[in-house]
Amino acid sequence: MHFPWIHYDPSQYPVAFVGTILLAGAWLMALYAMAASVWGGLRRREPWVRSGEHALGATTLVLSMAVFLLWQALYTNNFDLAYIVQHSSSKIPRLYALAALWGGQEGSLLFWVWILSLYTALVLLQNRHRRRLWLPYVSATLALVQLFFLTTILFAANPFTPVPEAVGEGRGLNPILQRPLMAIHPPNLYLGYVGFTVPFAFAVAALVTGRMNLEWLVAVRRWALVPWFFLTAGILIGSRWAYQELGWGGYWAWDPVENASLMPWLLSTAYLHSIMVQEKKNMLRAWNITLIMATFLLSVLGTFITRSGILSSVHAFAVSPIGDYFIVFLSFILFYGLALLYIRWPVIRSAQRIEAVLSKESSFLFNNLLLTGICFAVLWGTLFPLVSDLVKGHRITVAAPFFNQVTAPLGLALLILTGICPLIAWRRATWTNFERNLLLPSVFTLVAASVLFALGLREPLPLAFVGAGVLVLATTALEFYRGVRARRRMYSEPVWTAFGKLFVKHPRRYGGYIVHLGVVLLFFGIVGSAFYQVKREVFLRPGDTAHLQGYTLKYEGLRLQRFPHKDLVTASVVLQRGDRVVTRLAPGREFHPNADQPVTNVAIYSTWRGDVYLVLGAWDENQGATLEMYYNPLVIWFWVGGWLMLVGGVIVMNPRWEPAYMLAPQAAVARP
Amino acid sequence: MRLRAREIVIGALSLGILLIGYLVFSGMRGQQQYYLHLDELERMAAEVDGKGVRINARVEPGSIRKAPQRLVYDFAVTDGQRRVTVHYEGVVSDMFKDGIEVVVEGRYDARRNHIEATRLLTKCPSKYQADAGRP
Repeated sequence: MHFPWIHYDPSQYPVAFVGTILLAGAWLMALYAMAASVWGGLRRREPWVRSGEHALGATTLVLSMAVFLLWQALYTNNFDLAYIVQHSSSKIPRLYALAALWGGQEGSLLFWVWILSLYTALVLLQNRHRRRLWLPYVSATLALVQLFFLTTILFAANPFTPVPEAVGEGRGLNPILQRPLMAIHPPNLYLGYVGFTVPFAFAVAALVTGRMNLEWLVAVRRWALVPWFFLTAGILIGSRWAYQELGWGGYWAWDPVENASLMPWLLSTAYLHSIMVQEKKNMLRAWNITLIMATFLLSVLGTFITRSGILSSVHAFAVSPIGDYFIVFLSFILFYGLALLYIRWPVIRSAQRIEAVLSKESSFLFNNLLLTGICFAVLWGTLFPLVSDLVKGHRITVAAPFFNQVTAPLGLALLILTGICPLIAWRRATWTNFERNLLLPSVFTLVAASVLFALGLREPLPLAFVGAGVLVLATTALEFYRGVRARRRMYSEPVWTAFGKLFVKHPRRYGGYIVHLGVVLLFFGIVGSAFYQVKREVFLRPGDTAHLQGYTLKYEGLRLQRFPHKDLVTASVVLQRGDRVVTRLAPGREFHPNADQPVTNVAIYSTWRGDVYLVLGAWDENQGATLEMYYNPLVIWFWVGGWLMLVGGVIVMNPRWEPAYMLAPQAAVARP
Repeated sequence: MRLRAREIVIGALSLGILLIGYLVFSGMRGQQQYYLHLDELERMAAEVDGKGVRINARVEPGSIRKAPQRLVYDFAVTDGQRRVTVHYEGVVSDMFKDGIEVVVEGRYDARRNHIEATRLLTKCPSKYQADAGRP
């Protein structure tokens, strides 16, 4: 058999050949699924719709086979494939060889479309017998996105491309990527990015059919929560990895790749808030559709920024052949989405209007304004190099201070709003009620701020952030107190039973408050580590001591250990508080034989007040060592807050509330 | 009365949009860095004198001088034809060495053809996808 686009002998490179054929098969089936679904949907022919769904199921199966083929090739060091030569080697642990599936551009694009096909199968299974009106267009949209990624993979980034000339060994995976956190960070991010395709597909279905009711909201909300959860987890794990592995004392650097993940997170967070307005008041319908489509676009843009290298290079578009494909696809989705919105505007336009200035509706509007505003600022700062390149012919970048300067006031406003919003009623709140509700939290905030001021916290911005955080804590505590009191009155339950029942009976509301608490703790961590980090560099000879924020560091000397796969140099440091030995720290450097640079081993001593963070800089022949010492106050609360957000996310996903809506699936108006 | 509430909210939102826009565009001032190759730096030397630049070049082999017992580095970067000297204080990445591709950020002094660097990033194109250095 002869394949015009395969330029090698299939019998010589069987894995490359079979893998490419599988991808081509998936491509054809996705194309068929798209055509059959659209045809079946427009003509109301259920058999065609079903046939499209079966084709998508087959795509999932074939793509899984392709992924397992690549995994098998990675596991067995098949250096016939260029991808494996570039991103793996026989010397790295097998588990990390498997993680090389998402270590490079080609593999990670395959990983993307594979996850999408798994999500697709899940959506189709979930909706075998319901939501049939939307399903043809949901299938068609999912198939279209699969088709785009498969096209890019087949024609510009095929992981099953054979090597031009035989090699016996691969180039390996960078040692700083061979870490447990780095093995789970990308899959979480991808489960997030890819997941937004599903609510996007439902949005398209709503626009095409002109039908948008509560059942649609249920479907879309759940499918937006799942990727939101994974994206949150992915960002947190990535920050943790940066903090532990990169040795620069921080967890967030406003790098384009980090920004790429933050932007869809911000928009999806805005979306999860504003659909509550649609649910309760049937307002903001067009806005919500726009928001979820933009979230999807930013997810694809994020994948593109991460995987193309477009922003890390001086000359933009020459970097990777996948660029053209992504630009065409993004433009197409943008144009297609705007056109659909324009055509359907009369249908999706909200009939309801804001009734009062002081209402939960309007506070959600401001929440959305702030979240999308931060997203716009991050997008602008991230893409500015490309804009200036197109306009002026040379690239101008903006550095981290820009992002800090812009996001700090907006983040502060958002935090204050988080504290106030739960106190405002839907529809029309009265000022007297609002003032009465706000009284106690404001007293708490003022007391806390005065105490901190007296303790020496004088800078206005940190003081404002902490004050706003206390406001949120106070209002949230008040909400819990009221909930518990009401239950105790009604059912005379013990306090803890009542507390637990709040989550069981109203998972969305109280789960949401847990997320808010997480956000507050996260902000405390950011304020502590961003405003009050102490950084010092010392040169120590064995026996010397150094001081850092009440700790004494006693340097004992260097130690060299040899392992089969690496050499390890560690400095031995005894950490004391007064005369009491707290712990021993061993900052060091690893040298890997097949990597051309050492790896930093950061030593961290973490307490709820702050982290002692040591980096071994350099040393001389007399065991003298240069240590980079950081004290990062409160940074632990960044992680605690992050985990709490995830816990809240799980509570919010509780499906309990769904059945009530399902009883009246076609109801077009909200509950009273 | 209903119309009034709507108008107030829309007015406040518009004001918010204007404020955010102002924040973004005023934030741009003073935070810009020219991201240049050395040939571009040479051509635009007068324009970027005293301003923030971010350049992409290779470390000139043999040029790295480190202060004893301190993390202070002096070195030169080159593209084969042009050369700029750099001064940097702080921890350098593990990859920093002769011949490697680096990104240097800092203030450019055209008279001395010198950069006082505030940030030094190393790149290793062979093993890194674009995202590997940072999450």
